Amino acid sequence: MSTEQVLRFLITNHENLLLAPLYGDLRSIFCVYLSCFQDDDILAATFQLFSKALQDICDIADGSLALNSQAGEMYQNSRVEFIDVSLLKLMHEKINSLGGERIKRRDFDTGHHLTGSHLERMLCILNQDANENKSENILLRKLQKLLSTCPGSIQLAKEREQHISKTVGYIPICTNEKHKALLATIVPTSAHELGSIPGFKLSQAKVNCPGLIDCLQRKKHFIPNIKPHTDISLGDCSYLDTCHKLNSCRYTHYLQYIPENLCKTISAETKLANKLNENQKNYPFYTHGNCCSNFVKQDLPEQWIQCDVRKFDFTVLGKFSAVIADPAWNIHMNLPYGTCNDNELLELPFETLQDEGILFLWVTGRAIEMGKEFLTKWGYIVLHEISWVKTNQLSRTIVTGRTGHWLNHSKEHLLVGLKGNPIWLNRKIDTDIIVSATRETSRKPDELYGLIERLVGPHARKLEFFGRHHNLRPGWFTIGNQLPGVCIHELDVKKRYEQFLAKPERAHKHS
Amino acid sequence: MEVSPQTNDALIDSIMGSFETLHRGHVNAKLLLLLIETLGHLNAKMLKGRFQSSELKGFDIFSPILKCNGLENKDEIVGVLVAYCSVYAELQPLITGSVATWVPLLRSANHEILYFRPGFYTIVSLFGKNAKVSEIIPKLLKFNLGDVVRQLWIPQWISFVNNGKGGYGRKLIESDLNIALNEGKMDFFIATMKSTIIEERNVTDRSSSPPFSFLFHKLSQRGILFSRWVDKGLYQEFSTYLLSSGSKKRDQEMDSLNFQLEILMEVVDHPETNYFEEPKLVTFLYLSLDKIYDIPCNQLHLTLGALGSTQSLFALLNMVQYLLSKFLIDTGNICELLQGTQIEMQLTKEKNQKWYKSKNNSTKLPSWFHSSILTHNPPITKSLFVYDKDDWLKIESTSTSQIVELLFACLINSLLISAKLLKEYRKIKLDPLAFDISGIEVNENTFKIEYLIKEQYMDLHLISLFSSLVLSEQISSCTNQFYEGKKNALSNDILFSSTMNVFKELLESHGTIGLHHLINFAARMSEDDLTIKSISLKLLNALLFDNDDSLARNLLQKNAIVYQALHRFIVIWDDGSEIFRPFHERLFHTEQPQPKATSVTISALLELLPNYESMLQIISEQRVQKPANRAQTQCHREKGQCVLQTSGYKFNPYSAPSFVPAKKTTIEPSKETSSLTEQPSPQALIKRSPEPWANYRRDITKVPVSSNQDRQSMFRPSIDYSTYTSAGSRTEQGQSSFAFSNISSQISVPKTPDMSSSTMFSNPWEESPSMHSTPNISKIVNTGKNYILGGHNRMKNNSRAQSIHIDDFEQT
Repeated sequence: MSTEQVLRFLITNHENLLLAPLYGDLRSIFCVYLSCFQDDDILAATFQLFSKALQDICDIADGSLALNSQAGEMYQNSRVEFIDVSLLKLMHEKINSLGGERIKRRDFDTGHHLTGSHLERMLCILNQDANENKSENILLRKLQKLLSTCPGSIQLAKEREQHISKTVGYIPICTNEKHKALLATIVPTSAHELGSIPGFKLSQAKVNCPGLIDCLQRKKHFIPNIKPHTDISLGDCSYLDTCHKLNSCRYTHYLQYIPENLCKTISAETKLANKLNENQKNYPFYTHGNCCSNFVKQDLPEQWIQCDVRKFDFTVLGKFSAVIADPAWNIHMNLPYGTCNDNELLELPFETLQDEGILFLWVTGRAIEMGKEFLTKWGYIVLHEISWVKTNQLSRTIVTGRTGHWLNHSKEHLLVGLKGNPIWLNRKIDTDIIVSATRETSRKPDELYGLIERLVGPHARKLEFFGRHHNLRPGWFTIGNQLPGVCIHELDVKKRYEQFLAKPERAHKHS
Repeated sequence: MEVSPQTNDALIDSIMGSFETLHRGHVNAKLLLLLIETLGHLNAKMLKGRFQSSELKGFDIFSPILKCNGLENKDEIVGVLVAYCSVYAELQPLITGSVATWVPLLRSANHEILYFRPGFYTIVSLFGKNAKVSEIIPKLLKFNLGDVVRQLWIPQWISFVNNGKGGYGRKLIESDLNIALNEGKMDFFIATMKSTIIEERNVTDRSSSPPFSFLFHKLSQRGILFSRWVDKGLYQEFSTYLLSSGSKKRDQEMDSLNFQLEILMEVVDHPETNYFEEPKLVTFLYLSLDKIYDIPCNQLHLTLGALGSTQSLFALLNMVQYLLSKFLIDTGNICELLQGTQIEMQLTKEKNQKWYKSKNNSTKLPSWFHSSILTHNPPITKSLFVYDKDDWLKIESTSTSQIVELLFACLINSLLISAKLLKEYRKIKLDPLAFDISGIEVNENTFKIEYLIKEQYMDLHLISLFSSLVLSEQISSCTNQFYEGKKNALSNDILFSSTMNVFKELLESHGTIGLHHLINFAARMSEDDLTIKSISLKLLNALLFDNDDSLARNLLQKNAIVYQALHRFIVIWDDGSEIFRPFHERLFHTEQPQPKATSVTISALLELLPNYESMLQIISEQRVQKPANRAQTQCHREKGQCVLQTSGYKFNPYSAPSFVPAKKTTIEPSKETSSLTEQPSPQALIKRSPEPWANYRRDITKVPVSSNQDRQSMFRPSIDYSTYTSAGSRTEQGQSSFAFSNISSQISVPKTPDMSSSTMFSNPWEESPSMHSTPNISKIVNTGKNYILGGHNRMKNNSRAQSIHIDDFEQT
């Protein structure tokens, strides 16, 4: 048995020696070594000789082998923790270049002394000049490559969502002014509703504007809703369809025109796409964050409890993966709803709702900074701030919001807080911007639900605080004081809720 | 499992043939064991309509057995046969026709109180899936099955024969309310009174009023667990009563394999479930596992695939096994805690609601088991199909001990299924570890991935199996009410043998790889937990030396790597005890080395703690940083030494200790304190003391404490251990002062400081009032705070203006 043979063996098998089933165990490595070399010389080999060869390698190429034991007793029950194959290769080259001459430590001075734990070795490498040593540069490059590698999970999570997410029908908007003007003259309107276009007018329009019929089949059109009080010269109303004074506002408002057959076509196409997606769900190629019964499990119907959240026992609800809260912040403005004061909000025991998970907190104005403080107090770190860029009926950004002291608010902020280390989250699927139309006052965009469901998985428990009737949604639990009564399907929650009501002092507080 | 009519006929014929042979008096042990094994393959459906009562008329199979000389465990064998003949209505004539003849042949009863009162179904369920009848029969001997037959079963049969079927049943319902509490009686009722139960059930006014309603409820809870043996019509009644969802479609779905597998998934998806709160889920789980056992593996895989499960079949089974073991271990721990602290709890319930947090559980699984075997999932919604009706109240009356029994049965069933699947795989030559690389570009990573997959697969099995062994160990060593009793002891025996059976199947299926992973796994776990080390040794002993032709031993001798792994494991842990002897003598063919006795000092032991020095350093730093902000003292710390300098000290009444009545500042050094410097220090025992600990300890022994003046400028230690040293050094024996039990009591219990001695080492920077001590003892003063604030002197009394009079009280 020569040192060169052992060296060659280590270079060839270095990766497998540290893995199962050997785990770097020296005696096991010796067994493998014996099975690799079947000549007479090897058959006469002993573990002591093997140890000696390793000792020589360690002495000559310091740092090429890291063992878990201390010097002096290293080969009895010791394990190899790390093999620096670059150093071993260098040594092997040196041996070959020296021919039959015996290699000594002075022939092989790498100029560095790498011993100790993995972390120390890495730090040592990072601290050295990049050009100092060849083998370390290789390791450094490997490390850099490893750190900069985008994990496959991100790509896989995205692809999975592409294949199984529910498709929503989309109809593009026609931007042709001529179409708009023409339709305004031929589509009958009454009480803010559009009627169907009379046949003769349609054929007349076909002659006057050749592309109109084709456009009607593919796009939606916004038709000016001209009333006796409308003054076209004033331009479009800032609020459009959310205008509170539709019956007297002199600005121009619009009605949406989509032919019925276009609706049907889009609906059929969507249905087909969703059916295809549905069929792909039962092949769980990538299952990160999915529960075991992801495919067969049915969504729970929407659940809600009408209550004053300030007096409600949060422990009734159990634990959730994601929570949305849209508190009625007191932002010192004239608002069409009652607000909570800061202390009341801060005192809400949000920390009981999640052991680990993600919390979305709608904030505005002065509440942005306060929200961040509150999240920290509840045990979250603020990860992101999602912006909801509000669009109007015509899918344009809003220029006149209803809030804002100095500038009009044309966007809203959603703070994202993270608690614990929820490794089940599917990261990097969505962006931190939601572009969506405004609806009723303070109603938030539905796109957020999709974003959260993609993040935490379809069957994770999700909660919405300060919700209203329009927030009810399958798979979600909603809590708020404007909800219609109570509806609980999960029996454990129901049981706890009944116990909560049965406690006289709590029931009194709750009512 | 469905069998062909031909197989069915052959089975019945062989049973009939055995009965005839026994009736003719040709009794031998082999025949009896085979008969019991064959009866284990029967079920109610297979027997239906195959036997005519007249065919068995005049048969007496029991007398020849009881008369047979030289037959071991006669009573137990008769007991098992009586149980089988009782649970099948078709075989009952074998008892009713001859009971009067062979009863006198039974040994006379001991008239001991029966603590183990199993019913027929308990006994037959032991044999149903455990093919090794020969192993179970001797166990039954240990649990006095003979006495059960004589005292419990036979009197019922005699009464039944004497009173007639209907008469006895009605008499029981009307007069014997005890029936619902006695498993033996309930089983007799279910086995023999089908028509009476159904009749009573159909009479509306009786069925819904006590005592029958209660009895029926209990009978349903019992009967539903034995679908293989209970008459189909009766089983339907029980099932409809307890589990029906009210929807016919849903009820049909409950019988499907989809539903059974969904139950497993539900259990896996909710690892946090408290099974005591979910009796319906537990019942479903038991029924599911019971049914899954009979399904061949190809059908299971097909159905699971169609359900789109994210987990494989083995993963599901092993996760269920792990979760059940963990829950049962936790239950055992809590039970033991409750029993151990019952008195304490009664005394301190009001004061200390979290009494349970102060206890250490004696048995626990390594924490990495949980994260390794289970996937990381968010909190998942519960499926309504398990909880979809308010009838859970019906089952909620299931007692906790019943739930524990059910969970136990579930665990055993899941182990049996695992073993059966491994066997089936082997039969069809399916290797779960086969790594198909066809069509894959092979590179160096391919083999790494292959190793990782194999390792994951083996870990999956080993984690759940070791969890079961830990549970078994806990049950055999604990004395709490859940696991006490012969019935549970018997179940525990079966749990252990079922677990061992899976280990053997794993080795049979995966050979050397399996054994190597097992040894490595045991070595890895033993480093974490010494309890698991002893379990690992027991396991290896059983696998290697239980029989002469051990597969494990053969594998070991063929493979040097595995041999080395075992050798290393044994050498590391060999403490000279008997359990290691066979390894040395029968395997390594050497004599067991004698253990060497070595004396080790405590400090040397402490040094072995991981990160000992850095821990010590962090503690010292924390303790030093605090006073810098608070007290007007300068603490210079160098190499573990801390020298306190007082300069222009101003008394702070808000951090002063509690009021010390009738004792001002003239503190004489107590004998105990002064003896500190004189008596032999425990440090003398420490040969090799680490820095800064050793320096510090040497320093404190040099501190001269003789007068008030000295006390005013006394040395103040910078680390927490000072308190314990002080406490320990006051012991007369001069023993080592590492009294860790003192730590919590000294820190957490607020009390008036003992000025006479302990203040010299007490930590002045602790929040606790007992730890507050002023640097200058002569300035300690009663601030009256404890009086004003009712003793809650942790709080600052901000309402009170600072008093010059108080501040300077002692100086003047």
